[in-house]
Amino acid sequence: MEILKIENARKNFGGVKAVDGLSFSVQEGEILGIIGPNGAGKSTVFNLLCGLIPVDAGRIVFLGEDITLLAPHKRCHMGIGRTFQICQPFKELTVLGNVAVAAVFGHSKPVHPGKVKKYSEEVLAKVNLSSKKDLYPAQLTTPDLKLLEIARALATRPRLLLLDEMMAGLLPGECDKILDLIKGINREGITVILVEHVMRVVRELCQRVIVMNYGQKLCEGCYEDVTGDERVIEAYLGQEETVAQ
Amino acid sequence: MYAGQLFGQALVNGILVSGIYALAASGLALAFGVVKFLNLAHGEFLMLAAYFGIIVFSTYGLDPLLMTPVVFILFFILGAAYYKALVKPVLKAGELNQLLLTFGISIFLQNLALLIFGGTIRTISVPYRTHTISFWGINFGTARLFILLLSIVLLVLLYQVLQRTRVGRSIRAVSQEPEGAALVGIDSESVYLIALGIAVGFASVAGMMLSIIFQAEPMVGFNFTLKGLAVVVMAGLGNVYGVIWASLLLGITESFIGVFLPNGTGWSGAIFFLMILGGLVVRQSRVRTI
Amino acid sequence: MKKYSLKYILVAAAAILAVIFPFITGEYYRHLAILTLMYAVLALSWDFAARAELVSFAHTGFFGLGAYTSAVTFLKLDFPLYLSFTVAVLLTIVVAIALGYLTLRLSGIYFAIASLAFSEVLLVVALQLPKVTGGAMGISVPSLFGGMRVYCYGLILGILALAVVVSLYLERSHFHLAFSAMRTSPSVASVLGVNTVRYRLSSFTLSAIFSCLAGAFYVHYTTTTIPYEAFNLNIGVASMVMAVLGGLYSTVGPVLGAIVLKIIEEYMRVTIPYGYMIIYGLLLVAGILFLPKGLVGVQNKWKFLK
Ligand SMILES: Nc1ncnc2c1ncn2[C@@H]1O[C@H](COP(=O)(O)OP(=O)(O)OP(=O)(O)O)[C@@H](O)[C@H]1O
Ligand SMILES: [Mg+2]
Repeated sequence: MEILKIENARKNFGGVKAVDGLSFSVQEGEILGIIGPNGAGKSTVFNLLCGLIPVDAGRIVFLGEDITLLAPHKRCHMGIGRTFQICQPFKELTVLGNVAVAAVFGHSKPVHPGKVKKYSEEVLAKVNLSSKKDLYPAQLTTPDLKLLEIARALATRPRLLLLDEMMAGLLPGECDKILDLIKGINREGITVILVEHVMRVVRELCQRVIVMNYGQKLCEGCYEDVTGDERVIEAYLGQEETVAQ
Repeated sequence: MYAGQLFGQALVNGILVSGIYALAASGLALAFGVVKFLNLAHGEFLMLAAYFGIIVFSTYGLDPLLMTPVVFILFFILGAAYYKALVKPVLKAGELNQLLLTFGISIFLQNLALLIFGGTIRTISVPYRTHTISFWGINFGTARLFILLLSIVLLVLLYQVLQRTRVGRSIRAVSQEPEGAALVGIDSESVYLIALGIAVGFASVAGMMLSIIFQAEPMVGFNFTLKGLAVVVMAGLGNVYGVIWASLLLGITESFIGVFLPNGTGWSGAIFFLMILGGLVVRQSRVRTI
Repeated sequence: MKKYSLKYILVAAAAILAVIFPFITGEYYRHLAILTLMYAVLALSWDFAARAELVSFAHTGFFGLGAYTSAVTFLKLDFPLYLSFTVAVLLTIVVAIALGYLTLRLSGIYFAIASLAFSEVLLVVALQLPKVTGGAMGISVPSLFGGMRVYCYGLILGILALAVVVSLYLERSHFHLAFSAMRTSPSVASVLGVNTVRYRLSSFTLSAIFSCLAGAFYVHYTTTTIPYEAFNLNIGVASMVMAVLGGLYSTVGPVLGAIVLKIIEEYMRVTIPYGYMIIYGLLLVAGILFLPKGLVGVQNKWKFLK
């Protein structure tokens, strides 16, 4: 079943065409990868999908419903969860409080007020952060902040999870843990879209990959196909070590 | 006076005061554009300069307009010190703290003036204060004309500095891309210092003018902060170049409302607030969220 | 456990003192206490908006709006007191929601400026509609409860109690989570499902309601007001300083700030008649620079050190 479809989406920032006539669709249960050089518009696509930035033109359909004009919190209630490329914890709240926000507000059928704490602790246990639940974000390390991002998104009980560069700034060992976590999440039936520069992760996780450049879709296919594509190699030419990894 | 003359007079009056608005607002815009700092105490420097002019005039008989360069330099230093002592510590502390701090300074200076000078209104009676010249039956206050000319000269000077000098280019670079500017080795610290110095310096010149064509009292500064905000908001926050047009618009609108609306001078006090509200609400769609 | 019982004893003692205060003191202290309670309401109300990261100067406007609406309906339309208060609150709700919607996307500085503009526009309107408001000459109403201070005290204490209850609810319910999240980032909060518009509007409206109640009380208590007094920015400033100095985002902080500042202010007012507001300026500056968490924060700091 098709869970998400984006048609001909456009977004300009001043003169910059951040997203320029992009269309793709996502099947329920798959892990889709989006790759592309810096500034290709990947994060902007996520912003359009979760509603933080309105599209200039185009249409977004989620679970058969047109959500193009829907506010971010309603999209969240429908089941779109996301993480941010730059971790955005709520600095005034503890780790548990951060997850509780998502637990209380993240779904159209809220968690029973008396069970919020227990529910949030369960989610934290899932991402292996239980021991740090009473710390404040300022006391966490980068990998833990990334886990907190995932925990918060999970606590909204999403059907579609948008992960923006989870591995950036992590050591290979830490990457592996998150990689397994994402696999587990997907196994539970949550569809995942993944923006990633670390190619190894894309290769291991994604059934299908979309390559973006200058806001457009350069090509689409399985990992081997797209990384062999000449246009993709050209787009990455002069880019840093990403392909080599 | 027939209608055309009345119209012309209203237009001229509006244009004549807009110079002082532009001077007051350009400092505010500069500080906001470059330092990303909204200085709610901006007008108080204007008020202080007005009293300074009054004191110097009454003790030495010096014409405030002739003292412009000296006052500018004095207040430039004051502005730099203000930056070092008070602005810098809260620059990273978030908008709430900045607003509250500068607002606190504003209240402090207002009431200090009230303590020292009392609530009475004071003016500088330069000999040409009430002198006017007439063209086609329209009166031009000589003092106001002088002041408009001086404002234009100063603003042109500011734009030349911003466009053509090294310092000016650094200022623009920092205002447009703080990180980029830091990468190419511009010391944002001294740019901030200079920007705030210029801002306070311009406010002081506007203050001297104020004591000649209007009057000085402890609360006048805050009123100019608010009018300056109206101009800055209409010009686009931080846009130094839009300030001229916005000041003209404010001056002329006020003047027309004062002349043509029944009991208009009272309403003209509301017009700049409506401009602020309107300006912000129209612009809010462009305010970036993340 | 012991810490909590001490806290409850303190709260109970304060509550008892608040109730018996007018019976054990004279007129002067009663009057002072009434104004202090009124400012405590204002400071709390300012804090309500601050909790949603709104630096509001609109409180002055709502204070004046409350004062004028209740005075005018009381005088010109012969409404009974409770009805004039109710009408004032209803009008305030409408205006607050309208203003809230208009300024929905403004944050930080931008919202502060817009709210300041709002208050000043209301001032001009009050001055320019003499037929309704009495213009610059102001408006007078008969004295509240025939000038019986004890009843006036009771009324304002009741309003403060209501504000405290609302504040405690905001502190202990899902509002607290939503506000804390929105203070860090409204965008991120909305992505996690928080209806930021609703929480922002409700915090702003709640805060407007209590400013309005304080204003309505004020005009009936002092029996007369003029626009320059009812819409005086100093009212908003004072409540802001009280909240900041006492400690933002808490119930105790603003109330404590109001009490401390009102006492200092009264002392200053008696010693220097002119410009005693200077103390507000100084305290605001000093508070921001040296006590970013307010008096409540000081107490926590001590606790932390021990
Ligand atoms: N809010 C914004 N305002 C203005 N320009 C923006 C905004 N967000 C993104 N852009 C611009 O849009 C383009 C695409 O940015 P985007 O963040 O989507 O790239 P990306 O593919 O995620 O890059 P990266 O791999 O570095 O994260 C860039 O040129 C960027 O500068
Ligand atoms: Mg990105």
